[in-house]
Amino acid sequence: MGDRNTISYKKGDHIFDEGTKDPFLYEIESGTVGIFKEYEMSSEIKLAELTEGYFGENGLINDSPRNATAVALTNDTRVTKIGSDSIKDYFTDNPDEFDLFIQTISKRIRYMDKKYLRACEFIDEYMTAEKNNNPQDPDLINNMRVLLSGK
Amino acid sequence: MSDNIISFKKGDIICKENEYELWFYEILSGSMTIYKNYGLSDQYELGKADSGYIGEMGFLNSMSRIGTVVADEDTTLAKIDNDTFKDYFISHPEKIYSIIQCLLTRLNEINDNFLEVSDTIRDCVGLYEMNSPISSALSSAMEKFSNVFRSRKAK
Repeated sequence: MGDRNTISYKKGDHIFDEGTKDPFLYEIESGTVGIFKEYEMSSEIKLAELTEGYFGENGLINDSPRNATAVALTNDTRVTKIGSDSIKDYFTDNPDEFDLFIQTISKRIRYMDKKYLRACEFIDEYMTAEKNNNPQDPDLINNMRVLLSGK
Repeated sequence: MSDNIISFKKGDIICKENEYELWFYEILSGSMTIYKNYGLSDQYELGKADSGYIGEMGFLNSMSRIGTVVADEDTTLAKIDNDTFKDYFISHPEKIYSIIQCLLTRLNEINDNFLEVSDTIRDCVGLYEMNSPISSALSSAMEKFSNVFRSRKAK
């Protein structure tokens, strides 16, 4: 099956860090993983909170450093780490896992696309109020803050 | 596997905008253009393709076709549907990387779009809190995202 190993993390442990090279795919066995841009900085954005499936997929296809930080959000977090060199053999030997991986990425595309469209809708509402010289709706501002917090 | 190989001649429509189709294609040879509003006075090109996959987003994300795809020359495609998806890639393991790369490129695009719109939202919240006017740069960014929302809402 190539190089795969399962690792346990405590709450707050970093699984991989933005800016580092990390040629692995990860599968969540238990617990919760948060994916953050600019983690622990004032501009931090939570991109996702995951309880199942794969993450870190960009480690498979390019030589670039990680563009986000993955953090264990619960004490019972366990992930299986799969080396990028092994991935073709891994999916050939486990076609159901390949299916699951593709479905995971598709779901993520749909989820992020919905979030993106929602964000565009907020901006449209903000602009409409500005153009009509109306005060901004505090609920809209609150929704914007919630979107930025990743909740 | 040969019964899923389909040939198109120049000018043939491969798939139509807004239709739901439960399959996508790998481009084996030839080339094609993707059009918005094909055949109408406001028709325009979304892009061209001569390799990789076409229609995979619609298939994997249960979305209707975003454009009409028209063959630019004699073109041969492999049709991949729900029944053949797993077997197709397992019997062509060299293609596993290419479909993964295709999907991840799309995911990265969407993530980048979201980060860009998040910056604009952060600026809007900042303006509200400081009761400041909108700069022309911010106004352009807001216009861009507002247009994205309106054009997709119109579908």
